[in-house]
Amino acid sequence: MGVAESWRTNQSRYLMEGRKCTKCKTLYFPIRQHCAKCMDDSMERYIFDTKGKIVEFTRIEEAPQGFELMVPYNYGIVELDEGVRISCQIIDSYSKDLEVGMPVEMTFRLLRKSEDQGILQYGFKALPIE
Amino acid sequence: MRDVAIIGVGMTKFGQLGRVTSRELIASAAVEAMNDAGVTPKDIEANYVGILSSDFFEHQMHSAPGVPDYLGMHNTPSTRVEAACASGGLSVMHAIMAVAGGFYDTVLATGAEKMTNLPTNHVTEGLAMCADDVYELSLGITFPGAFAMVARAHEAQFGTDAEQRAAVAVKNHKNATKNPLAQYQKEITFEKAMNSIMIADPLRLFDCSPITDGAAAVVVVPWEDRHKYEGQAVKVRGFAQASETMSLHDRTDITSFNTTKIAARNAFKRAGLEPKDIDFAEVHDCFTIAEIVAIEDMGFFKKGEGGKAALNGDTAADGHLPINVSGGLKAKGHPIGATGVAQIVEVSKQLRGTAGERQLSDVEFGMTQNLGGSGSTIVCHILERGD
Repeated sequence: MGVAESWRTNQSRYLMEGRKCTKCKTLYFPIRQHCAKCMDDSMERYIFDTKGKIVEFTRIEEAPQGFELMVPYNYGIVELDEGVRISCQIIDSYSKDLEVGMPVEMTFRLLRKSEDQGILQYGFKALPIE
Repeated sequence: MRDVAIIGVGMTKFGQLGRVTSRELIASAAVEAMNDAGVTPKDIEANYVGILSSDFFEHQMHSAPGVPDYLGMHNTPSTRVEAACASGGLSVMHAIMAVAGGFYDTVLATGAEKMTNLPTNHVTEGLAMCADDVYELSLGITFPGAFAMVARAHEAQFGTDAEQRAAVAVKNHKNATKNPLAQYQKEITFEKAMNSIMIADPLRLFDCSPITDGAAAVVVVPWEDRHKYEGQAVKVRGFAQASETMSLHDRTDITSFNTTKIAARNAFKRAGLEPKDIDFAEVHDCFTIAEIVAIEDMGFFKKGEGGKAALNGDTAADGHLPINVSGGLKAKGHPIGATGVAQIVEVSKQLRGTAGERQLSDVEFGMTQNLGGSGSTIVCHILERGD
């Protein structure tokens, strides 16, 4: 992800901002311009609640560029309370402690430093909550 | 629409091939395929080339014209097809459709990848670009990670454990000992597979296909013209492609790929065949769990029985439905764009009876399943022994 792309996609990554179709009420994350169900473009801003639960997870030990110093790290699919699914790192956890169904809260964190342009990419990670 | 034949096949050695580019690899495979078919470059009316990313691996975009350039057929139309790890299968499918539709009579379908120029973390990054860049890759996913979640979900629902996954790796390594073009021609033990280093829990090193250079090519002609050529014809009976969400997390059930179910169903429908008619298959075992899920989704085994099929020998070379007798992606190697073409090469060789030491006896119908991304693209082909 370059500087421009990083900047232009930061609403969803920084704010958990998605879209809601004003016609059929379908929720989308991340932002998209058209509803894939009714093809309408009357989408309104929707900020997702930060709560959800773990649907599935893994512990990654061989990382892509920029994540090498974080290994091993947990990564999982999270279903937000609104029913929309996302995936992200699950922090402050060891895989033996994680369970499917565990409640999490989305938090704002540094993702990685881009190798080509050196920018610091920020976004969301999930934090298990009691 | 015309029936179509595979009339020539070629494939390079798969492995770490050193000082050679993807287009040189394609030229080697294509020359073999053309010699096999009994055609020369001037007979080829169009070329399709499946390459995931010469851009990323070789800093070379617009790789399609490089193929006719290196084959001395400078003005022949050449089209690159990219569908992640299904690029090769889709390249063959486009060649088939071009001939079936009557646009061309002699078409070359090729595929290649030159992956070993980059260190592993960059290869992991490059492959992960086949996932959603902003909402998966940039958040830290890898393909082993994605398939690890598939494996965990499959284990939780059906009990598909590490031993069943290892059985796929052990089987495919054993098969590859009889394939001189395979990257790894050595057997592995369950102990070795199940104690190898963890890549993404629960997938270990031996659950994963390797990083490979290689190319494969086939020549496609109308079935009615097959006797005009020297090559032994194999008939294309069915083919189909399906797409699915970019991101794994957007699926409600990750123990199965709808794309495989749909592409297989449509390929069977086109062929007028059923899963029980298929004698053997080459499926996309980028990870051991992927083979297990594939043979279930294609309808060969009940949901949840795919891992047991490997463990009890049903999918072994001497089992009732041999899967990946070539060694599969796991042991034959996985040069991304070449993989789907190499599956067609293997099925064609088996149906012709020219597969050497690993030749299966009495096979009439063979099938392929080529997967891109986290199952976001699937291409299936069904081939029949010629007359």
